[in-house]
Amino acid sequence: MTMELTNYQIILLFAVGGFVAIMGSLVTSWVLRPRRPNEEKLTTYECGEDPTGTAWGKFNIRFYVIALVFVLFETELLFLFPWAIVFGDEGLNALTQGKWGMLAFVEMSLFILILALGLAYVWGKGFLEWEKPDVKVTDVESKVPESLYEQLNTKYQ
Amino acid sequence: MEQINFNILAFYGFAGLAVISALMILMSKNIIHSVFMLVLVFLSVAAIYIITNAEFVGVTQIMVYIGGILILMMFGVMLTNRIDGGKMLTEHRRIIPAVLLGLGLAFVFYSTLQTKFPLAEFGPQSELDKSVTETIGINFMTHQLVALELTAVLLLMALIGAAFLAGSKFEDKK
Amino acid sequence: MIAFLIYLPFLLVFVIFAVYAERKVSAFMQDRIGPMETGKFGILQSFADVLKMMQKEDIIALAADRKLFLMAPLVIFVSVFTGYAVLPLSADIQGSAAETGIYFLLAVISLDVIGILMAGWGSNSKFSLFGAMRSVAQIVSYEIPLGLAILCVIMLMQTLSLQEISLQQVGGLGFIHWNIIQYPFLIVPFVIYFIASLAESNRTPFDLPEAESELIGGFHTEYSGFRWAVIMLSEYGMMLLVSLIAVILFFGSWNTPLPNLGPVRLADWTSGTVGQLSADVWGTFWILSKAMLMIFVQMWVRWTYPRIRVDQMMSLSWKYLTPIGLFMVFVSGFWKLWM
Repeated sequence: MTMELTNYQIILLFAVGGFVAIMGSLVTSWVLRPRRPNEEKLTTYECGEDPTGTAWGKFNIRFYVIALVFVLFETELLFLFPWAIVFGDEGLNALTQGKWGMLAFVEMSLFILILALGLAYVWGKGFLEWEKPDVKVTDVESKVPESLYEQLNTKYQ
Repeated sequence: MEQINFNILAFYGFAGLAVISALMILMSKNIIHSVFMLVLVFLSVAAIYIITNAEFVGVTQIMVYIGGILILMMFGVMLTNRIDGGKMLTEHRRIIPAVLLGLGLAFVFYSTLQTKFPLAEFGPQSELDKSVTETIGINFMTHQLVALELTAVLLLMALIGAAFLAGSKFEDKK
Repeated sequence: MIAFLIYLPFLLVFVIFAVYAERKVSAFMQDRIGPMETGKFGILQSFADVLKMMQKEDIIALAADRKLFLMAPLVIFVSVFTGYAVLPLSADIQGSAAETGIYFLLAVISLDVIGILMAGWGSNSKFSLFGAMRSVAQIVSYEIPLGLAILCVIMLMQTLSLQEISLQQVGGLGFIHWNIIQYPFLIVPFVIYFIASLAESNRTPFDLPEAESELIGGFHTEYSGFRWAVIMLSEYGMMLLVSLIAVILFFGSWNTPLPNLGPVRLADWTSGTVGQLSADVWGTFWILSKAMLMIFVQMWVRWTYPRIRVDQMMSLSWKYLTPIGLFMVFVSGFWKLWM
């Protein structure tokens, strides 16, 4: 039996096929595995302590800002893709004596530069900075003289 | 002939899925579940785009809406969650205005769809030797150039505006 | 259809051997011997692991959001596996010849994020949620440089279809026709792509989302038994996916690396006849073995570099890779138009 599938039917086949394969193995595992739940097993893991509250709380707003910057750049990318496959089109270039490619390139450069400005802005404003750990340098009074360390370091270089 | 039948079948399947998941969003009390149901809505809409030969738009729908905007919404919901945790529940308020608004919208759609349903022909296959995506690219560079550059400016404005608004929160934290 | 029948079993077998290889490679690099007990040289270790995981009790914490928790592994796996649909295996075998090819792949990769968020939120564990948030922030940050690196190749090839990209690298001179040799500056986009792909698949040095020493298991802390195995399967599936894309874009896809040297027709001998079974077998062999080599490099990197800090991770993506990526887009444009 040969069946001609269209491109997106094949993609659907992959999605459904992958789903079925995993469901199949999950069901096999469901048949095989034991079911002996108890209260201790069913607690959320929190390093062996009883969990305090739920995890569903607030967290850093930076995640949100990063996601926001991402959405805007993703939108930029989606405009670049259709452009990328036509700006060097030989047929169009021959038709316009090479002006097409030049025009498309300049137009898109403008587009990219405007958005690069946005990147520069958020960069300058420090939104791309994540909190850095404070490195605490502790002075340790060591009885071992410095030269011994030096000796060791040079030995294993 | 059979091809078209399959397309119509798939169209109604995905349209149904979109409507059902949209209803589930309304019915669900758990707001996080609602956001995740939105994935299904967007996916079915993307599938409908693809069925109607708007391949690029469909994939873009997945990439930008699911991969981008939905993540943003999830982060938004998760950020606004109460500190004491617990499930965020939605409730129904202002039922009468909502019903009126819904009926009004339904009427608008109904009157628009009195003309021949534009999707019924499943989009013309591109007559040129260019593919749909290439046609989109060429149009960006020629007919829609101003729109494209304006989009860039708009995106820039959105970025700066959003960064500015979030910036005040940032200052608080420090 | 054929591609589906090849990829699904191959992926499952690949994961079993990749886990074994990972353990052996890491053992070799750390001067250990790795698993030795199960079978000769421990070769059956992964099979034993799979058998064990099949029988493990499936624990779902009471506090978890059951629906999201149960759905998450499926969403992650399906979104990764759907990506394989557009990859070619040889000149004739390709799942879907969708016109948007690589663009579709980028979209599908971003779907993976939804599953991770579902797992993290559904688990209702602090470690899971932190892991998921980090993972999402990381994946979305590196998607931009990844997209830009891919864009450079697309600009030179003028097509989104992975099969057409492969066909443009065919030739009698073997590796000379590969993109990375034809356009030497592509080495920069390749490095960007490689770094970003490590981050996309949450591999060390970008394994902050599942940093064992801080976050236990990251977003899959609460998963056990076969559900955990599915998440692991997806992670290795992602590794293979990004490796295959790298091979297709930069390293000649299913083309043979051996050149024709005068009467010694190495390329012809190792390519088969187009349209016949021999071409399919050779093509599949070359693309998969090149991908295996890429996987090895990923493992090598994993066992060589320490994990980076979260601020380094962010600045690497936004302050280095993205600007360099944008610059490389310009370089590719110049090259395409004036070279």
